[in-house]
Amino acid sequence: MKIAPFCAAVLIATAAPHATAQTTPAGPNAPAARGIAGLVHEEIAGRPLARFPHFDFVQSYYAGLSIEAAVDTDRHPALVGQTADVYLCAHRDEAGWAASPVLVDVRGAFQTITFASGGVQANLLTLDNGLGSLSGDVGAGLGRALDVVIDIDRDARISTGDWVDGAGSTPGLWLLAPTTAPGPLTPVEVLYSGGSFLGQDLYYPSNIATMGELPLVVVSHGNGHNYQWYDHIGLHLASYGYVVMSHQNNTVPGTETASTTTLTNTDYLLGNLATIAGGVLDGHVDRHHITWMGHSRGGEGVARAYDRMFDGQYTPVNFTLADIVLVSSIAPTDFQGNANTNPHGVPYHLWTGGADSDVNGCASCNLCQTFHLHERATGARSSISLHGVGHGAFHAGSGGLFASGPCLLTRTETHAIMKAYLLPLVEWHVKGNPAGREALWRQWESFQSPGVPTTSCTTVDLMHRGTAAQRAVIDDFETNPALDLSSSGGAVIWDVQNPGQGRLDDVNSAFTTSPSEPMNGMTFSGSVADATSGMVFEWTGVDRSIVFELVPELTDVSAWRWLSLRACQVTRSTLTTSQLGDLDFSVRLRDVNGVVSDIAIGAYGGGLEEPYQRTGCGTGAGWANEWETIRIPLADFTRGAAALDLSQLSSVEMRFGPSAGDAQGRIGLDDVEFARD
Amino acid sequence: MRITHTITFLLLGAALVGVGSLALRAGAEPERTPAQRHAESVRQLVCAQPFTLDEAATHYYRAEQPRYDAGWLIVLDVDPAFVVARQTEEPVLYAGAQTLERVNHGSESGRVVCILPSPRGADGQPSLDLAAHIFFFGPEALPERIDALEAQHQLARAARSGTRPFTPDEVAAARACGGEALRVRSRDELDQLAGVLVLEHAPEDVDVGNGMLAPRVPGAAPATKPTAPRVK
Repeated sequence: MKIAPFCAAVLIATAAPHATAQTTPAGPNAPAARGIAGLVHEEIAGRPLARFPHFDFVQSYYAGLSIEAAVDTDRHPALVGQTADVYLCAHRDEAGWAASPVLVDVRGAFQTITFASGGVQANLLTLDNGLGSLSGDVGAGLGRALDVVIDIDRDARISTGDWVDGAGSTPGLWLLAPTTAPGPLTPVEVLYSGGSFLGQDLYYPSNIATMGELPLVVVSHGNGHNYQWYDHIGLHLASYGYVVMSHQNNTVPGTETASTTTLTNTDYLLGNLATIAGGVLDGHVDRHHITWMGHSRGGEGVARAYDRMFDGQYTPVNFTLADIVLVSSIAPTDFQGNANTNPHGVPYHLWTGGADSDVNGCASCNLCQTFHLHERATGARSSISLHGVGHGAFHAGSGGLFASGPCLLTRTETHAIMKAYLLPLVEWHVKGNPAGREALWRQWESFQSPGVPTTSCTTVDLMHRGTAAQRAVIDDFETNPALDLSSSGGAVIWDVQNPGQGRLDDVNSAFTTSPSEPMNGMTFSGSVADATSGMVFEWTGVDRSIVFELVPELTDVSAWRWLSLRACQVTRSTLTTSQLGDLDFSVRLRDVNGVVSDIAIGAYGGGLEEPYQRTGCGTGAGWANEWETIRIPLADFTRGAAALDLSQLSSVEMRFGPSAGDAQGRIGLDDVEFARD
Repeated sequence: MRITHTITFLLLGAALVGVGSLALRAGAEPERTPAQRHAESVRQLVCAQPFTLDEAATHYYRAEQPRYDAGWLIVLDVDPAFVVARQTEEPVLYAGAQTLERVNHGSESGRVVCILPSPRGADGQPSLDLAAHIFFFGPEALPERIDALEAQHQLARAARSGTRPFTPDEVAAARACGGEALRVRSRDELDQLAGVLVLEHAPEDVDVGNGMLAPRVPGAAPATKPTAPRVK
């Protein structure tokens, strides 16, 4: 039976994107329990795209950049010819709107639109051009929450039949202050020592005595570094309402000892709040929301510290394992391997620099490969890879950058990127604030804070994966090693060239390309204990594809938000080096009725980045393979293909070659899945 | 899981008797072997001061993590190439079959402040004889993984390469530089003395020195970080 498109849209919007309230937070458009009958929840705010699907419904914007809106009249043809008023309002949940339905536009005036046929391309509206009075400054918060309302009946009230983007547990959009800029609070820095290897550099808001309990971020430096070298982290986060403590770290003996100092310093701080800094922090540190950040040996040390607690080898006095809510490693070593340095299920995050000449990432040095810890993490995990950033650029101290390669970034440039990304990261994991979480996965080319370096040398690659409850895996390549069978048990039909599947580990000592080494440049796995596996393949001028047939449990994706995958260009392959640049290919969804819809991964503002063109580690140019997560909103596949039935998909297809993107390429592919956050 | 226990320094010391006189330091040949470079890597015992601790401390630079309550606070002049800080393994500094704790890196000045644990003698002072031990850099490793067997192995290897102990005169000069025997309550007090030595001898490590001299709680007060050595 067919349902009128307008009604169908309403049904999809209310059913999606969360099927199980127990495991998922309320989504951006989930209606409140009490509200306004007949209110239509739709995504409206977003940004236009140069090609299909022509519009990207996103939730976060940096102040100073334009905010656009669109309505897909192909999906909602009943709107064509109607005139409505468009409001940008302070966010309320639906109950709040029901209690106070009068529309007040934060810009001072609403806009009027007459809907035309032609889908999103014909129904674009600039809500704010970035030059007006809108500001993302909302005190110590990360962003300003706004709802977009289309007042269909033009009565200046939100009511039955009106459209709203927002009015749920989260707003229609977040207008973010530039996350490179200091927050509204004045940070105070105090240097003190509680004893041997208890030197601490503490940062907190000057008015902390008037505040509640603030989350704690602990910074554990690397070998030859110093605990006074992390002002850029401490001052930045303190200005946004965090307590940051950077401590003396006993790194020279090794990462086990470093982990001890992470544990003892955290314990010391929490156990001596009544005396440290005159006791001003007493009662104002939230010991149940602790982030551990570590650099290099300290980056491994923080993960090791977590693992020691996880294994019951160390029991602190003043905090528990559950109090550690995020572990973030900057260019971590991996001395201790899978058995000892394992983040387990704690949210884990990685920073890595492509030009790092210390923890250099080369195939010859297993302990220098920074991704091992990330790949061991079984909980939510993210990474940020920065071309041209050396090991020393992550701290603010003296000494060299420990950098090798072209297009090097300075400390100032590196720190701007760190600030821009770190704040949304901790706000999401520590406070559950979703305002900036899109910064964890949206392509850097299309979503970056004002204030980050914009030179052509600035290349940033992001990976992000949610918890197991937030993913439905089609193929992670870690079981069913045959190429024609996915890990979820579905058939895989492929005609790509030179395919291989296995552990993502460059098994020799160089990045020199070789036909006999399909996993060249892969540095995710350090040993057989690290199981991360994936697929590599290529195409050369002819259309090729990989078809993942969906098992019955995966055919209904109406409860999921994205089709997600991660991929990389394979370093030093002639198919990579002969056309250095972003690489594009397409993803096709097919339903049981044979309806298909294709979207190119590059449509959202960037394909797969080329590897950093650093030499060494064998012959040729190009460093370790840099993976990126690509997330395509499932709803976007229905734009222009309204008949595509997301509740009855039959396959997900990766399409390569002249008809689908770049004519040639060699890439790695992993974690093909449906996702939601 | 590690087991902390007390190690018998006397046994280690006995193993060193006679080892130091096996060979002379290598000469200044234009081309030096790696072994020769290692043999020459510790150039001078600049200062040495004996200390005792009222509260024993842990020596984290050994796999056994022994406790100690006496030792030497030492300043060495070394080949800076051996103390460039990095995250991968670094050359391990030994005195005989014992590892030294390196308080600073000293990669510009070549001056490294070290803590060398020692058993106590009958007089209650550190019994380790500085003139009876060779000081050397062993292969790159994590000191926390060095156990007694490995330390002995590296000692024998260093002895074969021609490393010699400092002469009694050199030790006497270092003792004169170091000053009288110290008695401190805790490792924390020793750290502050070591911090002063870092500022005196290795100005490039000013942040290390100042960090060790940070005000002790509860004396902490809001302050910006010092930009110059507090102690000269």
